Amino acid sequence: MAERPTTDPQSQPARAQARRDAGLKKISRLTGWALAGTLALTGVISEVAAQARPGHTKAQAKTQTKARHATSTPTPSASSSASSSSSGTGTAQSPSDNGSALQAPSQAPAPSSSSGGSVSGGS
Amino acid sequence: MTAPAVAVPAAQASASWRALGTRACVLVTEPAHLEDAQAIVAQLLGEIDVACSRFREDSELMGVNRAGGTWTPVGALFLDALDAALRAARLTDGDVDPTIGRALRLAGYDRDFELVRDAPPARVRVVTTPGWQAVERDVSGARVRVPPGVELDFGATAKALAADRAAARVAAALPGGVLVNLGGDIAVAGEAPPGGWRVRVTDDHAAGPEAPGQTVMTACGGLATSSTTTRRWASPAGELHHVFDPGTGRPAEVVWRTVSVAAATCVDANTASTAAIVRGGTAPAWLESSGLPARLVRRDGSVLRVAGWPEPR
Repeated sequence: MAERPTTDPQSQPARAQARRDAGLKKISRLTGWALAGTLALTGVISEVAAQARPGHTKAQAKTQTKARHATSTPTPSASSSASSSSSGTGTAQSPSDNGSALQAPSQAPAPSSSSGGSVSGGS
Repeated sequence: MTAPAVAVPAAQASASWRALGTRACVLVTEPAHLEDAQAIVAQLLGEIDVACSRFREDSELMGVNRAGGTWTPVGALFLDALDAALRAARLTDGDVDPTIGRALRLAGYDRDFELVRDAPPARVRVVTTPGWQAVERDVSGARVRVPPGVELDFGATAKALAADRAAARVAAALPGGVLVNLGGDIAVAGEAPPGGWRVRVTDDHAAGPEAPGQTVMTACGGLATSSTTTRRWASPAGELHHVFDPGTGRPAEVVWRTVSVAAATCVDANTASTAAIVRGGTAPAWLESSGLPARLVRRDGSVLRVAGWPEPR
């Protein structure tokens, strides 16, 4: 008659605890990988979106919002324009230019008692 | 050369012809120099067309638009035109934006306007404007780059820049005074006639000098008019006009049907008149605080004058 295996009453809970610890470690590792994967996927999707719809920067959004709510302030961005530079590479935020505001004429148009003349109209 | 649509005083001479998809006209106070003046203006317009046309496959602008995000070598005139366009965008908070090109093309304005106007209504797409900040320029290397899908259009500034440059060139080369008129974008230089140049402001530059509007005298700088009554074309969604709001990618809501502005240069005048159309109700206060004399015509034809624009006599 074969001898029945005996069970050590002390080692059973220890093995159960070891199995639980191993399971928890596995879950923890899986959670970490899932988090990293999510972050990586978010980055990839963001990059694809940025390539598909270029030019939408925070600055642009801010500018457009400002423009939509324009008041009597003439050119809010004019005084904060980047320094003029005649050389070098840069984005359009720092173009060289010849003025920080639209320039008024030195003399306003005068009334004319006669009609005719060169025509300025939409084209 | 075609007959001028201008009532020219006896002491002046004028010539007009088609250029840049519109009517070009030069007036001089020294009739003996008219031919030379016209030659100078015509040469510059040819240079501008090669650099900045959106309707020429061989233009520098089309080369930049087709480059798919790579750097494209450009000439000095193109860089100047780009600078003028970017400056206009910056000083108007993006209400006049050179990256509007794709929105215009997909709305149907994709070739010379005569062809657009005569074509049957076609499906249009509305796209937002990427924004002028997306443009990269390398002045020392004379090259420009825009992101893939971004298309430049200098419609709001290149013609005005050409008028400024042409008037300055003529005045530097010839005695007397000169007025250059490119589709209603006017620049004057040299010695003006007594009292100034007579200019009729109205809805359409192609209308005669007796068209409804106002006549003023101007002696310096530039004068430009933007209007929603011209360059209109049919689409399945209704009629469109060419003054697009970069914020929506659609034609600007019509608060003012026509705006005329005087400024130190034609570029500044046209920048302001275009921005005023886009800004709508806030435009008068903006023009007033900028010190830019302007005449704004509402949809019903009533007129508002600001910043010293004269009352009619």
